[in-house]
Amino acid sequence: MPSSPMRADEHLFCGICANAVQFARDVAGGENPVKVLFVLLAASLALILTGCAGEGDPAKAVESYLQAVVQSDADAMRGLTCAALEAQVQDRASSFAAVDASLDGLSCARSGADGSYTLVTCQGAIVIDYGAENSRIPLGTYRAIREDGDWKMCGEG
Amino acid sequence: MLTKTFRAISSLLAAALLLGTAMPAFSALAQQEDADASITVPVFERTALRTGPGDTYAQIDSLPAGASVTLLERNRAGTWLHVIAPGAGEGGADLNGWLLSGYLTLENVRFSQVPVNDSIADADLSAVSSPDLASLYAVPVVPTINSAMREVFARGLEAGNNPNVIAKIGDCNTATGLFLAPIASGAYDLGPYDHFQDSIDFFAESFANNSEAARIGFNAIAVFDPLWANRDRCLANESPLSCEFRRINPSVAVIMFGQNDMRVLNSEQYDQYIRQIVDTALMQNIIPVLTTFTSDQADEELFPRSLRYNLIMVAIAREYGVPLINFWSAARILPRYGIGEDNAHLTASGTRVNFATGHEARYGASLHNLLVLQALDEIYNAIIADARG
Repeated sequence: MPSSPMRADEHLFCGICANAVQFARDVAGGENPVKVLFVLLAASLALILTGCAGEGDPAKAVESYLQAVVQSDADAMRGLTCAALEAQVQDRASSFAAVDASLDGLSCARSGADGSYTLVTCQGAIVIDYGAENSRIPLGTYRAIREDGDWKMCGEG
Repeated sequence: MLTKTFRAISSLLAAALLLGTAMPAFSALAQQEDADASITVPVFERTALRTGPGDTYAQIDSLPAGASVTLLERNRAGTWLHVIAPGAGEGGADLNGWLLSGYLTLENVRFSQVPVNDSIADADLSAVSSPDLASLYAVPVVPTINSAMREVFARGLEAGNNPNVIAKIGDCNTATGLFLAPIASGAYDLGPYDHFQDSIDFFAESFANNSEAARIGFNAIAVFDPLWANRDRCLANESPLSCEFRRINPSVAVIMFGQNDMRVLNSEQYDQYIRQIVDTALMQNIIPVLTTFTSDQADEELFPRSLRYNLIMVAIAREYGVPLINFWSAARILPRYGIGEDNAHLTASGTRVNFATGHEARYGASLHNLLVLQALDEIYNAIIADARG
C-alpha cells in the first residue's frame, strides 16, 4: 500500500506515532476496527510510558527550544532547530549568553498551519535578569516543521 | 578756489589725524569692555589644572575650592575650560591652564558666549605609551558632520524619514530611562550648556520613545534576532532593529554597544554586527552615530578587550565616514571611569538630566547624555538649522 501524505491531525504524533494507524492495521492483521483500536490504544499507552509523546508534539518541541535558548545551550538548540536556521544557532546562543534569562508562564499550543509549517503560539515571556534590572519579552507564534521524524523550531510565525 | 581746496584737504587731514589719535583710545575702550565682559567664577571642589583639555595633559597645579578663575575659552564639548587663575601660582603668579568645567560654579555662565577652541586636541598623545590607548585617545570626543551625512539626511527626508526623530540602539545603558528620556518630559537643567536648546527643542519629543532596539542584556547580535523583539509591537520574523526603524522612521540612530559584547562575542562577531547595524541604517538613509563605550581601567581582564572592541568601532566609523562620539576618551576623567562596580552599568545620580551642578564630570550616565546631545547639536547645526532659516 502506497504511503499517503500525512494529514494535519496526524501532526500531533511523533515519527513512530505517525505511522501508528498503518502499524495497528498490520499488527491487527486486517481492517477490524476493534482490533485496530485496541492496538492503537496499547501503542499509545506504550509511547506515553516511554516518554515519546513530548518529542512528537510541535508545541513541546518549541517549548524545549525556548528552554534551550534561555539557557544559551547551543547544542540543545541545534537539535531542536530546523536545517534552514541551523547557521543562526550560535549567534542566538551568543545573544543570550550575557544575560540570566528564564521563561515565565511558558505554555505553547498548536495554533494553525502556514504552508508546510505548523504554527505554535506560546503564552508567557522570556524574562531577562541583568544585575538589578529585568525586562520581559512577550512570547509569540513560532513555526515548527518535522525533519527526520522530529519536530524542529523554524522561525517566527 | 585754491583756498577752498586747501581748506577741504586740511579738514580731511585734521579729521584723519583726529581719528588716528582717537583710535588707540577706542581700542583701549574696547579692550576695557572685553575685560569687563570676562567671566570670573569660583572653583567649588579641588581640581587639577592641566596644560590641555584632557587627562593625558600634564598637571600644572591644583586649585582649591573657593579659588577664582577667569574663563578664556572651552573645548568643543564644553567639558573643559581654559582659564587663568590670578595669583594662584608660586609667588602669586597667575596660572594658565585647563580644568574640568564640572568643578566650577557656572550659574551665570552660558557656553554660547564662551569661545570654542577647535584647534587643541582632546588628548596629548605624546604622554600615552600604549599604541592601542594612543589610537583611541586620538579620536576626537565630539564628531564633525560631513557632507555625506548631509546627503544621507536629505535622502532620508525624501524617503519619508522623520527629521526630528532619533532611534536609540544599544544595551542597558541606552535602554535606561536615564538616557535622554527625562529631557522629553522637561526634567532637565542645561546649566551652562544653553547652546543645546534649539537642537533639544527639535529632537526632544523622540527622546521619550521606548526603543525596541535598546534592551538590557542586548549585544550587537541580539538587535538582529527576532526572538528578542517584542511580539506585541513587532512583526513576525522582524528583528528589534528593523522593528524600531519601521515604527519610528528616524533620521538619526544613536548606537552604543560593547559592555555585553566584549564578554560574549568574539571580535569578529562584534565587527560583523556593528557593520551590519551601520549598513542597515545607511540603507534606510538614517545617520548612524556610533559611540565608544567606557570601561574600568583597573579591570585587567576586560580593559584590554574594551580597547580592542572600541578600536573596531572607531575603524568602522572611519571606514564608513559616519559620526563617532568618543565617550571612552571623555570618560577617562570620571570617577571609576563612569562605570559601576559591575563594569557594565554607567554610574548615575538622580532621575533628572542635570548639567547645572557638574554631574557630567562625575557620572557616566550624565556624560553620556551630554555627549549625545552635543553630537545631535552638531547634526542640527550642520544640517537642519540652515534649512530652517
